[in-house]
Amino acid sequence: MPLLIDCFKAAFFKAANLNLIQMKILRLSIFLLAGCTQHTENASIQKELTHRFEDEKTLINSKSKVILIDSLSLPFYDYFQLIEQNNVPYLLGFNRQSVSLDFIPLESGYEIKHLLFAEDGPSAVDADLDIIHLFSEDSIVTIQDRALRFKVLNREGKLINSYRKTIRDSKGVEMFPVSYSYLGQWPVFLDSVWILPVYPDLNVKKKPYYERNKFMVYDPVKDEVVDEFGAYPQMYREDNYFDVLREPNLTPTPQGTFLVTFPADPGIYEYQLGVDTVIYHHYPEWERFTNEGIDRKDDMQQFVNHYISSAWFQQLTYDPFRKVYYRFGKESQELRRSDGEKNTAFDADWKIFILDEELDPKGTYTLDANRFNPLFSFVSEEGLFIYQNSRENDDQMVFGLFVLEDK
Amino acid sequence: MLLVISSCSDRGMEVYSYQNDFQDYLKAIEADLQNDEVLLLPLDSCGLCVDQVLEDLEKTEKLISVILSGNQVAKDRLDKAKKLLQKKNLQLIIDENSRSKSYDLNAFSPIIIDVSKKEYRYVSLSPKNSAEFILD
Repeated sequence: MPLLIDCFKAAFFKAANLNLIQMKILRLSIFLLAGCTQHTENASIQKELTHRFEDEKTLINSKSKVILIDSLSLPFYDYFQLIEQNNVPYLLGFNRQSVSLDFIPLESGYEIKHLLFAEDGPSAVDADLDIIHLFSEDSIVTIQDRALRFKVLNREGKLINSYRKTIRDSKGVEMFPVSYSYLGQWPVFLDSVWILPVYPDLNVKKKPYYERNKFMVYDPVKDEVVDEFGAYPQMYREDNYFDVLREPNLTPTPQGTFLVTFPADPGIYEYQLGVDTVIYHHYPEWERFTNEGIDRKDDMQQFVNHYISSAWFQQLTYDPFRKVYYRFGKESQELRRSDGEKNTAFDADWKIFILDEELDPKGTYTLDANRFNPLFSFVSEEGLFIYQNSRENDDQMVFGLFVLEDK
Repeated sequence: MLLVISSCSDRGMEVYSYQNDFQDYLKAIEADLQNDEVLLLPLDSCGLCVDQVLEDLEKTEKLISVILSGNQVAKDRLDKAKKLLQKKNLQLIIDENSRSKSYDLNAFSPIIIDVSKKEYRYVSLSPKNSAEFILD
């Protein structure tokens, strides 16, 4: 990952007043037909659906879920995957401190496992890795944005093979895969293709950066991009700058479509691979979350103040067990408290909006973001897990468990 | 030509538009600067930058005032920072309560501020330019 991005992440965490060290120690089968039409970066919206808010559902913080961890594990992972082995659910966390994959069972009575990677040589894995995905224990893919090849490792962390990686958009511009997982931005790995968040080698403060699609549909066997989507909305292409609030989320739906959401845009963009039509889901009740960004000439301090005080959306997560989506949003707030001290982003009201499968909002929950960290959340059969900041012992990873209820 | 000379003498430093906030911050932490160069070093910020800056500080003989801040600091970084106490060329100032977070200082990674002239100038430090500004 480029150094500047690393530095910026740090700035972002600091802005959010997160525990950086914890953060550091601290991600349907689609069959693509060859030659399918590529989405252009200016794909026009051909369909718009307006959604009205209903207040039928809410979340209940049912209990704290304590997961025991060992001294090699971390209490907080910025990059993780949920897997199941022998009917036991595991949180698979990428440990950037020890450069390992930590297999943490979400049920008690099972052993924690660690897959330590080599520091040097052909099997080496960089602590600053961008993307890692376990297909099976003997097929663990690692992707580094600027590396020429991606690697496949086995259960012992040994390199099985490496493959050339050429990711270019429809105009031939090289794109680099990256995952802002702490913002809820994850790649999607399908049977035949990977949908990778990417960035171009362009100045992020200049307009051309925002004229590229954000997601590349990459065929690793052919080593080619077979489709692309995720055009930046018009607000990002104009004079204002959004810094990290530029990074969209990608959420696969059970219908096989893909939802793209941008922090500054209340709407939801729905794409179907191989189809040019984009459905824009419009939410008049969320207009207050429309973010206007800052001037492109502003510096980091001005952005951080804007980040703390303005409203924006974060992750959109699908819950397959209850067939709803959770959309996290931070409300606007004053930059400073009455005593002159600065607020943090977590002092604001955080909302979790509950949407049904038709993307109709069905309810809202107000999250205490000083108690629960919305940057580390996932869904399991039990409910929505959100990282709880306080824990009694070092051998604990604690989550608030939130369950869906009718109002 | 004048422009070229000017930019060379400033070594890539830019005008520090947060000078007033910085001065308020110095008062808040009761810091009395003894040097023309002040390093704001948030130990809990950009890991690669902080580590490189700490290494370069250990080697330098330049006179620098160093303001250390950070709520959550890894033990190895704290140990490295503690070593700096032995260096007589460095004036170490500890912002114990991380008051820096309440002021607009544009210091999300280490920054070095030249306070020798009426108009302060600064630069953000990264592993690439740390040695250039910290070493002699």
